[in-house]
Amino acid sequence: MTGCRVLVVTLVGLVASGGIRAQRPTFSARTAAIQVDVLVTENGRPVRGLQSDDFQVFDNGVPQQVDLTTFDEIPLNLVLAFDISSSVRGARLDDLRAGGARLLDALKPRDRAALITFSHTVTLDSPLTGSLGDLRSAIDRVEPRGQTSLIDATHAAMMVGESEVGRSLALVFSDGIDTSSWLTSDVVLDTARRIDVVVCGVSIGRTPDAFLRDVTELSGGTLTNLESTTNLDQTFTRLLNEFRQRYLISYSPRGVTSRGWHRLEVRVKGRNLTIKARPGYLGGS
Amino acid sequence: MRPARWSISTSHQAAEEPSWVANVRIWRAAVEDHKPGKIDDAVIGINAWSYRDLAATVADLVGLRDLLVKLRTGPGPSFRLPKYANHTFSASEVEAILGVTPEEGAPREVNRLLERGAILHTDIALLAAIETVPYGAPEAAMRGRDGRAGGVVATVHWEIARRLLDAVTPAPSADPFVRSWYRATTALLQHDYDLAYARPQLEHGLAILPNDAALLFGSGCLHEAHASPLVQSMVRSAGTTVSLNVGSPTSHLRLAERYFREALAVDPAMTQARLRLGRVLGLLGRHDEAIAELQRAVQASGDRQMLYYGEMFLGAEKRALGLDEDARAHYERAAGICPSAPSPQIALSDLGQRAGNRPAALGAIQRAFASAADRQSPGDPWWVYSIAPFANAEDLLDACRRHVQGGTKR
Repeated sequence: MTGCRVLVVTLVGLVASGGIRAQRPTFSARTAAIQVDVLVTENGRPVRGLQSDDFQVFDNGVPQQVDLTTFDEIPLNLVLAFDISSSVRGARLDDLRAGGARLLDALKPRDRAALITFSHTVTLDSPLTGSLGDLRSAIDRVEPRGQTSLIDATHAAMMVGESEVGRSLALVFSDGIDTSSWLTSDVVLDTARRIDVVVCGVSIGRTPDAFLRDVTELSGGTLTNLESTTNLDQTFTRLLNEFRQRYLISYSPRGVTSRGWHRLEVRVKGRNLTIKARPGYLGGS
Repeated sequence: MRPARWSISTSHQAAEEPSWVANVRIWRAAVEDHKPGKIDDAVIGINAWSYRDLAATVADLVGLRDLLVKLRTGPGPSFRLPKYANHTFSASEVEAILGVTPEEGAPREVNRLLERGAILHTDIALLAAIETVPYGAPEAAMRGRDGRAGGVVATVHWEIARRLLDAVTPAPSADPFVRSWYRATTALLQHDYDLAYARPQLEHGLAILPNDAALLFGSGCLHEAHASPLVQSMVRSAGTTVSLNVGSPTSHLRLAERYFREALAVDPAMTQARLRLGRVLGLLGRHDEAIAELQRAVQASGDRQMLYYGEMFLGAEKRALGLDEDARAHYERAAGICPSAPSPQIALSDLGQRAGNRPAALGAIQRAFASAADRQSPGDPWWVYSIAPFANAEDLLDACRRHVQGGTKR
């Protein structure tokens, strides 16, 4: 099923890594299941301790039977996509390097990270790796130049994030607006609808970048717009910690057609909480 | 430190030469002393003049030229300029001010001065530092960086240069130098992405030379650039603090279409114009028309870079129509033309993703990464698409400079 992992394969991977908590959900082996990762907050703080019975999921308005896994113990694939166009220099570059280093410090032993940097070119400075020393060196070496291929870089980050088993977060930082990508925003937004990588964006400036806003929304991520890069490291680690505290909800669709766009709605029963999840998925191919 | 000999005259003594006459002399001497293409004393000195003084000096120069024609052809040895009622000039006095010999025709000789003057002011505009917005400057430009608005700057010298060439006789449209100058300067301004000054230059050039294919093509490129994300994002980031002469992307794309069609009407063999017309039609959502123009451009062109653009744009149009296999073929041809360019691989990665073929999508993006990492790579022509037609701009301007250097200095 386009855009969704076949759950049985994923479950085997998770068991092998020991990444599932004591509660073992049951899954249907006959119907490919849908996974949705969900951030639940109350007054801006993540809510923990919810069980599968607490959630309601609607697929095209049809209520679904929910299975649940929290995944703060599931290894993370963190893809950093950093804007190094000519405007990212001086203190801004220093803050970006410091933020990247703090992020790497916050990773757990089984997590992996990759570094993509982009100006008008999109470069894979380090593929997904658990050896963070090379990544730290790569971050220290970046030098600003050229224009901004934000859209191409976001596509690349999603491809790298999708390339390996595990939960993938693409963290995209940009202080500019796309000026040189080949791909257009609508094309990459369509990709974000199809795949499971969560994109969180950090932008700098008066107005949030429209593309970053839309791609984070469609992938179930968040966009943080900052006035300056002074506390960028705190923003990066907050986003990473939030991602770890998401719930992974799984269900096997019933009562809906398999193909086309499926509108998703996730609620927590009986409580007025803020839910952040992807707005839907593209079924069939 | 401003060179003293090029400083504006402030003499108002009736017994001495009037300051306005002195300024014409000073300006003429600077023009003739200037070495085209160099930052010399003439550039530094004249750059310090105010817009008002420059405009007045140009007007006085042209007024004296017209006076000399009247003195040589009209009745009586002297003539009073109504503007300067206290002064009379003889023909020899005006000849001395303008540096014209009695043997030569005044208009032709003054044309030479006007052309050299245009080159002086061109060099000031290009080479001298712009720090503030001169008082009374008719045009100002907003500098942008990486899609973000920056400060406001201005130079008056493009306009002064245009005024000089407007005075060329019998008509600027009949002067080959004027045509060459507009083609060279608009190309250079667009090559340097100085769109704020390219626009009035193109508009004025087309007012003089409405059927010049190069200027029509340049105008199409200008509006294509105004529709681009780089310019549009700069406009958005400027907010409401300044009013910029930039409209919506669609409005500029429609103007680009119009100018490219007009260029092709004058020169149907102008493949670059046809290629860009196809691109613009695609951006306007008229994909079938776009494909027709792009295919004609590709078939007519033997230029590697143009073929690359043609295949990439055809790939984009076929993808827009859902013809993914055709799109893939075009992108693969583009990759074959420029093997080190990342954009075809990024495009192929997108197609792979659309087809649900993860290995293909990832493989293509990894090839794009490899291209980007190759320090020997000549790069991706897509990155320079907006300035590609103007690669020879410096050569065109150097030809104009050599032309004025060929005249006799007085």
